[in-house]
Amino acid sequence: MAEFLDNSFKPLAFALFLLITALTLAISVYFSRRVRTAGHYYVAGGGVKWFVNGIAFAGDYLSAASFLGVAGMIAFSGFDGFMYGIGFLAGWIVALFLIAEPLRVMGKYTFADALVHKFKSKRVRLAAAISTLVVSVFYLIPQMVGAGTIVQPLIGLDYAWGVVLVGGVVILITATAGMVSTTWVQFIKGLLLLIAALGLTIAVLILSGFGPLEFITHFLENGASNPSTGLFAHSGDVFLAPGIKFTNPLDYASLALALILGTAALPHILIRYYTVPKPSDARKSTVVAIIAIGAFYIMTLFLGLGANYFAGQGEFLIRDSNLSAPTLANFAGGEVFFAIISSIAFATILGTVSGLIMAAAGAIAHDLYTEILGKKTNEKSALRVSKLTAVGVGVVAILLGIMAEGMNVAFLVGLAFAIAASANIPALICTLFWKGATEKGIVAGIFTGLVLSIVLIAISPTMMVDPFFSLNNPGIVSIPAGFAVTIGVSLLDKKKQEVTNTQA
Amino acid sequence: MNHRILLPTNGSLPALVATKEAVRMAKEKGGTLVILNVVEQDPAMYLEQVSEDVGLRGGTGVDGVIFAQALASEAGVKTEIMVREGAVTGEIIRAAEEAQVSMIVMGSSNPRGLAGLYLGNVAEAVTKKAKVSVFIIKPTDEEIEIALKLAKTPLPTPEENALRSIIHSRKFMVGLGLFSIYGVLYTVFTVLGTFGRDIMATRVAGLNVGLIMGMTVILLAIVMALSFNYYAVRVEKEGQ
Repeated sequence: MAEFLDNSFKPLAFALFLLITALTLAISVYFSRRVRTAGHYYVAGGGVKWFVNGIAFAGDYLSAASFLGVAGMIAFSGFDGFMYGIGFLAGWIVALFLIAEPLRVMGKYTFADALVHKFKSKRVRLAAAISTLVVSVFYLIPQMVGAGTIVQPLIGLDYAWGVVLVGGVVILITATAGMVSTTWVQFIKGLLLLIAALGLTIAVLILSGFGPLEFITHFLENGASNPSTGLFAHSGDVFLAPGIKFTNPLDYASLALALILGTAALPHILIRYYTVPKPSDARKSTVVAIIAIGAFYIMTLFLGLGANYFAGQGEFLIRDSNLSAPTLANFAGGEVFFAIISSIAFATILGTVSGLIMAAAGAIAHDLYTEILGKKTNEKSALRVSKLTAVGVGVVAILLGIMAEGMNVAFLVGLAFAIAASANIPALICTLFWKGATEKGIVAGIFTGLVLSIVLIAISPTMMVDPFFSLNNPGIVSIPAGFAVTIGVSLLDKKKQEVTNTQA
Repeated sequence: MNHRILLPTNGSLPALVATKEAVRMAKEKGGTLVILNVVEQDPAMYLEQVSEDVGLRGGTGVDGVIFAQALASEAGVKTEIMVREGAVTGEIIRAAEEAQVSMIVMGSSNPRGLAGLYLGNVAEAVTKKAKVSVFIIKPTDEEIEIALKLAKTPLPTPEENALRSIIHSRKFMVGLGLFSIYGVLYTVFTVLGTFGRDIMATRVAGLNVGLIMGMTVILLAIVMALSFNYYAVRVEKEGQ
């Protein structure tokens, strides 16, 4: 009786999906028009209250990874999936207490801006732009995987064609109209995501007939299933403790480090810190976001466990871990609920993708093309370059997304976080808090973190059958290496400068 | 009464030394520094000034006004800027009256050679005609050396000053403290998940240690954020 979510065209679900997506786009267009005619960016008016901005923060941050990936990882790997949620939230604490206020005070909202402002050097700008580009592409991969996965059961497309289709549509929208992800769109998205998660959590508890803590105790007592077979797979003690995904214990530590440092290093997150006029409002927004995101990850625990529980009960089977939450929705509320969950996930992907592509396009069009190559550009050619970049970056992400079929999106995001943290965090922390940082040190640190983390991923068990490097997540090696090189090269550089000074 | 000091500067070496002194005096008395730059119209005068600089040490290439502004902002001294065109002495006297200063501080070179006399003459002329006290700095070689070094080292921009004051503020320290508490728990959680998996799997009250710690880390993040906000709001209210 237990079945996979079938890959067929579902007219009702698809119609609902189109409707909700169109509505999101319409709201976006409406607000961006209104902003333009009002003659000032929505940031300036101060009309956005900190609460709205805070939920919008959450809407920005909770990408496909959180909703599809973390819930799926919990359904298949138990505690190790929960770890992702904890780490994703921890990144916000770093942002709130260490990075956001100093960055805001400098009037900069991305790590690249802060670096360029301090060192005023082309090489730093080049390093920051390349890093922004690479991190954006790696963060785009899981979004593409998520998009392809959702479309499969919705219209019955092959995974690869799903990625091409959805990726293509998203790029088209971003490159032509440019989806302005205004605060209000992100607010609606964030709110919908929270409501959907709450609805699913309540449905899990009602349908299973357990209280929240009782539900977890039930797992500890009775063990967990393998959601793709519905058969008993792990005892409760194994399932709800680390070890199923992170067979190498150090992988757990590596991920923990990458996640807590990754958030502040992403190119598109801290920008929203500027959408409210006062620093105190920005801080309140962050607090609201932390509460919303924290609550969300506690709910994903129930979504993941719920998917595992009902698969074990023989209600359904899950083919791909990323489909855990949508499959659960289909079971709990039928095709309508499935369509709603899918379109919210899709809107989330759309928003994240457009933010990332814009960050990447900005890095290429402004930093590389205009500033470094020194091309005298008018607005028209700058726009053309940035659109070409958007398409180029999108195509690369689609190809890599097809290659990453079947991988859990939260896992993929964990890799993107590791790369971002390795390349950007040493540079950012040293620029903000250490006077001794030199231009050479920063550039060397960025490239070390970037290259090392990517090479380590390329020779990891994820990519190879016979891996040279035994950890799936490179963070524990590449982040300290980034710091060591930044500091070491800076100190050497300074010494050399002093020698030349005394000689002169 | 508000103490106001007029500082005529053209970026010459004596003027740089005078700038340092004027900022120090303004800071001491909690006064305002009025920075005056008189743009010389007479080309002959300009030539004299250049040769004076060359004679002493070579041109400084320093914008006197920007230098004074940067020094003052670093010392936390309020500044006003005046730019005038015309004969130096007359403009200085007129500016002093308009800006209602209580004192004029200016540099004068050691009278070495003919060129050196020129600025000396300006200072002398100002002293004769001014209605307020005039403090004339005659810098020693050593003082010139120090001022030149100061002018050549890039001064921190206002953003960097703001950054430094944020990092050293009590609010940031409190945030750092809260973050440390969170960091310790997150580290324990990570170390146990890596090396103490048996401990994580130990059952407690229908759950296990790992789950309870995980939820605590999430809840602690929320509690930290709320208490930091509570503290920051109180500090901001006190500030007003």
